[in-house]
Amino acid sequence: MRLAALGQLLGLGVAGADAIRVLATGERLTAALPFSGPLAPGPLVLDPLAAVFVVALALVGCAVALYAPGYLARAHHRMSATTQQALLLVLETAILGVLVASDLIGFFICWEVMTALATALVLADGQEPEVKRAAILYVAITHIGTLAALAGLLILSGGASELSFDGLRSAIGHASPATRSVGLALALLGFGSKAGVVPVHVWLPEAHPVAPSHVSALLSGVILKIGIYAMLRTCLDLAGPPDMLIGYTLIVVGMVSALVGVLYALVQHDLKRLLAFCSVENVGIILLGVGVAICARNSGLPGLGALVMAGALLHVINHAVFKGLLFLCAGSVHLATHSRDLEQLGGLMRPMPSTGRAFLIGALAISALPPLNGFASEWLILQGCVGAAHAHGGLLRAAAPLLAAGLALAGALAAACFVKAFAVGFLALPRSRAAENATEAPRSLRLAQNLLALTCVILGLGAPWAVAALSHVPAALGLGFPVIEPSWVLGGLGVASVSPLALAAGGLVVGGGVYLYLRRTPARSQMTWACGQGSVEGRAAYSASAFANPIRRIFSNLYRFERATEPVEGVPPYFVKRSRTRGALAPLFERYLYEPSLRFLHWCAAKLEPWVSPTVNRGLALFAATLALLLWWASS
Amino acid sequence: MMLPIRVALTLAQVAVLAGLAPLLDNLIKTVKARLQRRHGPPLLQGYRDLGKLLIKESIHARPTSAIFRLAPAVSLTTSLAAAATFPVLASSALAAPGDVLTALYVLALGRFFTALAGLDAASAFGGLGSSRDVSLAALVEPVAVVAILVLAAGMVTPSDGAALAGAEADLLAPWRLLAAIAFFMVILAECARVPIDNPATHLELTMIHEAMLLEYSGRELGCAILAARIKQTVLLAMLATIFFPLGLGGAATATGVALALLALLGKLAALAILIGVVESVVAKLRLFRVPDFLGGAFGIALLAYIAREAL
Repeated sequence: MRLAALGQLLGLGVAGADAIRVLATGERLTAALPFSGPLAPGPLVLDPLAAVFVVALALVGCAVALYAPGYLARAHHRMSATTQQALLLVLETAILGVLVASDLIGFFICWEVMTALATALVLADGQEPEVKRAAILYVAITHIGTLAALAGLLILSGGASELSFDGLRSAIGHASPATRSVGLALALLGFGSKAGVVPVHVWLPEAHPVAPSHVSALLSGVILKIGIYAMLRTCLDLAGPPDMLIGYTLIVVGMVSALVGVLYALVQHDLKRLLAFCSVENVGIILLGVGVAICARNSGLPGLGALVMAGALLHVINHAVFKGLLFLCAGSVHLATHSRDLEQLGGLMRPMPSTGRAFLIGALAISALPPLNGFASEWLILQGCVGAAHAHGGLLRAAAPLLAAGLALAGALAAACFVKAFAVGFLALPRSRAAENATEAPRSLRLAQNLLALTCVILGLGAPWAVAALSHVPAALGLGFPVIEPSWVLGGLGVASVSPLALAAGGLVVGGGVYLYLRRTPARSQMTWACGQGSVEGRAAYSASAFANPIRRIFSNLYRFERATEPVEGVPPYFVKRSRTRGALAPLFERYLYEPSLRFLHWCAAKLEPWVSPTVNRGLALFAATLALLLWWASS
Repeated sequence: MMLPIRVALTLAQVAVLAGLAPLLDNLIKTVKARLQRRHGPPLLQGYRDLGKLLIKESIHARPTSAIFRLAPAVSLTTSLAAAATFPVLASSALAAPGDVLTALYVLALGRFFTALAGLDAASAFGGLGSSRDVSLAALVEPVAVVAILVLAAGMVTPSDGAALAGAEADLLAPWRLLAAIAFFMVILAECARVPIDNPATHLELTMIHEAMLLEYSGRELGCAILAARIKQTVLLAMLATIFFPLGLGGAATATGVALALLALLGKLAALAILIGVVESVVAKLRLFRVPDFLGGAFGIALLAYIAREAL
């Protein structure tokens, strides 16, 4: 166990150090593999784009390595801790493999290994049918996605025999516009399914919550980003300079994902499900940033584009860190209370102060509040939306206020969501016996949490330096983005400057002074006033569902809340003594997108059925005919 | 300009805005009282009330955690920090840690903590207030951002002093008026003023902002109230100087600063009277009609952008 953790730390440490070197210089690292053959993968290449994601993996992976042994020793999963650790090691290696692959074969082998192992780990505690259902949904949707992506890339390559990325790049250069659009659309849709982009996100809120928490941290923090990496690799690198259409597509998809993700997150009361939906939001924000960067570049604002691109890539790292942190904290809460349901928690700040503080830092960071790291990256993306108003005409300039407003709305809703998550979970009084008897997480778990919390603070206060560290990445894409000058971050280039460090320092001095004055005389404490009743109770305090009610009513068109009240006692219905009310959100995407497509599929299958079954003879004949057709096609 | 002078001017501007805050709120009360044919409180009553609260002891609700004790200090600090983000006394003299958009984020930090504190005492009233406050804030932020963006489209940043000084030519341009109206509606919502919230109500169920502060007492209550007053003054000053930079002199000379201060006082007084009149003639909206109000504000802000692009 310990050995596995140590191995993870060492391996990820080395990978992280390499990645930081690549980021600092902007040069790519190459390592040839010692075997050759027709299907042997090409050399391993670490370029600046991949390095950003390696840094995210290294940060989250190290915390997970510290967290896992202590967590697994107490969690009593069906799968043994040793097996899980081994799978985790291979999973992280596969993620690294995806990031350093330089051809389609290596890329897709690692990609598939990654998906398979992630599924296995989701199933680590899989006795309940909903866990199995989540795993199947995950495998099904991401595999259809993988097939679509593979088909898209093969279409883009135009039948070229070369499967290395270099070969693909030149082949795509010769592709006709129609081929290019179809291939790109398929590839982006396919990779988007792995990134959890709306509407192919439906597996995400099912699969991420049921996994062990450190695996959820890795799934949400890193593996979603691998989907984004694949999208960026395809549309920024392989398919050459992206046009406006790709930019607009990413903007629309990103904005829809951001808003749908956060609005659904707000109404969840399962803590890990809430975090999973919030990942959809952040993936959307990243894609929105990339889209704005592409459009800004194509509208004659390459400097602004570079800055926004750096902001989006910084958000990749930032989201990995704070989402990893939040999932680890949710895991500690689950260990302590055996519950993920916010309505059963409450008052945890008292028994679990360290976890509470770490969760609060994560909550502030994900709500994009200064001076933490989420603020820095969302700030840069917001500057891109505001700066889009400087574009020389075009749709981008017209859309600038909508982009800025959408981003502000998503940010403010995320803040509302995490006020709810933190306050209902950790503040006020416990709502159940389990929450009352909770104990603080063991030391190794707290260490992992505190490490990520500290990273949130450092990345937030040092945001200008973090942007400086990423300054070569947009330029290294070879799309005409300039290298970011330090002065731009500090107010050049028509971008407003902000210094989180100055804000924090000033705030600490003033706030500290005020706080000391307030605490100068000891305060008495009294029970909360409960309108004349004796005292307040945990269960009577505001619940998570009640907290989200105004938003649920304001956006009722989206939620389609369905409520059914049935009398339990008292017939005829005019004198109901007891009634039972059930409410649920209508599953919009399932109902209006997936079910009709499934029905269509079933319909097609039913129409085809007489042709292919039930006799074996007919099936064999079709099989032979297909083989013959393929042989003819291959020989011609 | 020398950094020490800029720092001194920034601190002076924070002090002016913070110092004016109780007076400005009192002025609104006086206007409302006069419109109701009452005398209203004396002009300096706000200072007396706050002074009294700030020396009294606090009583804590028993279920609360450290968040409850931190929140007043955090919200006061964020209000003060927001006061430093845009030029008020001289257009080119600011050692600001950010710009106007930063102010929105910083104020959001204060709101985050206030909302947490509202839920911390396990009282349903506090939760009610917090829930409503963050829900409406989510709708307010986009309007504020768009209103500021309208100003930004054409200058380096909305709080860039040189650009502000040059804005006097189109002081009464339609887009500027529209953006200002949208921002004024934002202020009504952000500062818990009448069509959205009633600062004078005694009925907990209709409160939004006050409900979050119900469990506070003594100096902590004073601190939380002061923070809200300063936030109100800061937002009004933002409307007065960023949207209408009239009288905001260029260099930081003694006469320039004095003129800017006079102009600021005049504009703030006018805005306070306007708020008093609005509060007297408009009825409070039902909670679920507020999104319509804010939707209207968003429409006006978008219209301002379109007007700016078209003209």
